[in-house]
Amino acid sequence: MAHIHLGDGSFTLFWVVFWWIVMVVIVASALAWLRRGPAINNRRLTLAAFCTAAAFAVFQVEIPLFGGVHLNLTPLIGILTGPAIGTLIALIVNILSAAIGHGGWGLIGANTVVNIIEITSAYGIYRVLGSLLQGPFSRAGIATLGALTLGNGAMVAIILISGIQGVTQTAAQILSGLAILVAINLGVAVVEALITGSIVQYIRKVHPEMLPGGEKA
Amino acid sequence: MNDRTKGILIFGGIALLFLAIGILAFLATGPMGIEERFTRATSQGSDGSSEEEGVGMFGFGIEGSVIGYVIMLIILAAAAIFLWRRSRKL
Repeated sequence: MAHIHLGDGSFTLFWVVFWWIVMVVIVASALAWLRRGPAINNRRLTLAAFCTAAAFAVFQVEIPLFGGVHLNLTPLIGILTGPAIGTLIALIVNILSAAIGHGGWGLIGANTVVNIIEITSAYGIYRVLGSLLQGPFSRAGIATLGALTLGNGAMVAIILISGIQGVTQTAAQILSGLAILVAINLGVAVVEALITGSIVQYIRKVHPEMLPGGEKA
Repeated sequence: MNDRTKGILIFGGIALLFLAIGILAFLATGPMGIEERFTRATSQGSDGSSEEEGVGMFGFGIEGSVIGYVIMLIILAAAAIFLWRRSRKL
């Protein structure tokens, strides 16, 4: 949901390269972790493939809500696949999105970093809430709201740190403009939280082993 | 109060707060697409965006190239179904 909708040339080359390097380091760490960790079985691979297809399908659709917004299912991906596989899914979805003209190529690094923050924080919040709350719907819903809030914060931080070429606004002016955007995104986060909560609740009923730690229904 | 009810109440409270913030922001700015919001927030001209215009109906739209979207989606779905069928055989 948090996605930097700026075209190529908005960030200077330095910041484009910087965010690409940050993204590559995180992706390399995820790959190294996956190689050292338990082997990825066919079931997890299939789940990752379905999550990638679903995230790509949903992410390109503009929904007529609050004037036109996107969902991207990153919290759901985080809860179902975990941060390491989720990181790879975020990278693939961002590359494919740029390939069809949704988002600039230069912003793949920054946008993937934003999505990784959403995926990782959703997974973390969902796991932490496991010892505090029982209901999968509310756990997943709260994790989604928390993750998307952090993702929006990361999006704003990346834009403010990087600056935008050809814009005469001060950082404070850009921040106040982006604050409205974040407020709209928070409203949309509720829709994404309801969807994520419903899907996680359903999965817990029919395939609880798909959830982190193989939760029992 | 059990944990399940507590969870629903916490989630409901945060969700209502977020929804109120979103609606207030929407009422203050009026209806506009996400790209337009970004353009306004950063005071960029429309030339600053390299995103392709999509198509849509009933208010729903596809960002970017629709043909590219369909092709990519078919490939991803085919790969997912292939992996699913293979995992069922094993």
